[in-house]
Amino acid sequence: MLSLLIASALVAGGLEAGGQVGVLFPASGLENAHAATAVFGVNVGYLAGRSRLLLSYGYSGLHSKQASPYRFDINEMSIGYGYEFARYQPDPGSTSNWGFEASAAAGYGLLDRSLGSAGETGKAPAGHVGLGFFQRQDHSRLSLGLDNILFTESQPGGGARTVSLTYLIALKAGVTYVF
Amino acid sequence: MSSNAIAKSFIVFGAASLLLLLGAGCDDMTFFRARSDYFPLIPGSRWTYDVAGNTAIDSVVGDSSVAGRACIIVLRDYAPEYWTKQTTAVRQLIQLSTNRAGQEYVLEERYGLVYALPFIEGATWCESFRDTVVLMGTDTVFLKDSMAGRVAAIEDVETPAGTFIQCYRVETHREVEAAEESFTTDYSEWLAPGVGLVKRTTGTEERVLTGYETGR
Repeated sequence: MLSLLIASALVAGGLEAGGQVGVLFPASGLENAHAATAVFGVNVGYLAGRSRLLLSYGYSGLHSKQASPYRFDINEMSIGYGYEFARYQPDPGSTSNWGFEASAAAGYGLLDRSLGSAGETGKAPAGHVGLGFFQRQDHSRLSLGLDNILFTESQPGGGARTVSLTYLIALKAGVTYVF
Repeated sequence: MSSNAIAKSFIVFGAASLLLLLGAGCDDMTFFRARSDYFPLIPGSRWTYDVAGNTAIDSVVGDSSVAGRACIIVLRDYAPEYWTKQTTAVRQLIQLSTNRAGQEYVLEERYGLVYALPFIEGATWCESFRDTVVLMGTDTVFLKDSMAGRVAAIEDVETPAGTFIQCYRVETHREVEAAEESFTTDYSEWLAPGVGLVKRTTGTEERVLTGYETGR
């Protein structure tokens, strides 16, 4: 069944590959000691009508608000789904269109905090919910949007489990080549 | 089957696979530590400790300006201490004095580094202060005050006030050479996220948190 789905999808849709840059804004208390920083990403995707399936990698290196050798690197792989809920095609005969897309993704982050030669590593799953604008012209697709990221962690202790939710928000611009 | 349905099937399958893959371990709490305040100095906060059967109380009473700097006043066992806190360091006013012929002379008055922030397991820091102080015109005292700290471990700590997860154990060595005021001290402290000091051991003495209130 799965093979049939994949085969059908590959015939019906198209592949894309691209990259993203943006700014990551820490929240949930992270902003007290961490400054906003750049975020970079690459993604490959599969297009099927208004739907997109994306496999993405993103990197961001948070740093201290004051001069310090402290770094907090976040490497994340995610798989997501995007839906172009509003799409406008000014000229019915052209290959260009624009609109808005909502997306959701599940990811897994590899984390690395360091201060000089000292370091801690970790990992945490994440959920993404995004909303953005896109503009497509021939093979290119430009996008600009917000990505809301929620990292979840938990640990038992003292008879109860502590669940920690860390929220980050990213403003990203991307360019994608549609094959 | 429509293309939408195919894509949705993909995402359901992908997300389910990912969740299964991730289910095994998400207990590193790295973000939790990164965003937690391990030394909250919020006015109104109050900590009570058990020290060899006696109750000791620390509290944050407010802010002020002492020795030329804005600082936070902490009463430790009702004695005032003056602290400053920035993103990268926590400092305490060190006041060291000596007595000569019934008169008090200041040997050292400065904000010394206590913790380098943020805490990262394995991080170390040190600060050394040297000075020469002439007392009564002829008596020269050479002063050396050095403090070295190390984040030794991340541990869970059980105290009468509860169990605190993801505590940093900080080991500190302080050495003061200043004539008859010389001393050396070593201590370990456990600092809990959002709470602060929950346990401290110095030689055979142990200070353990029995209760706390966080100010607003």
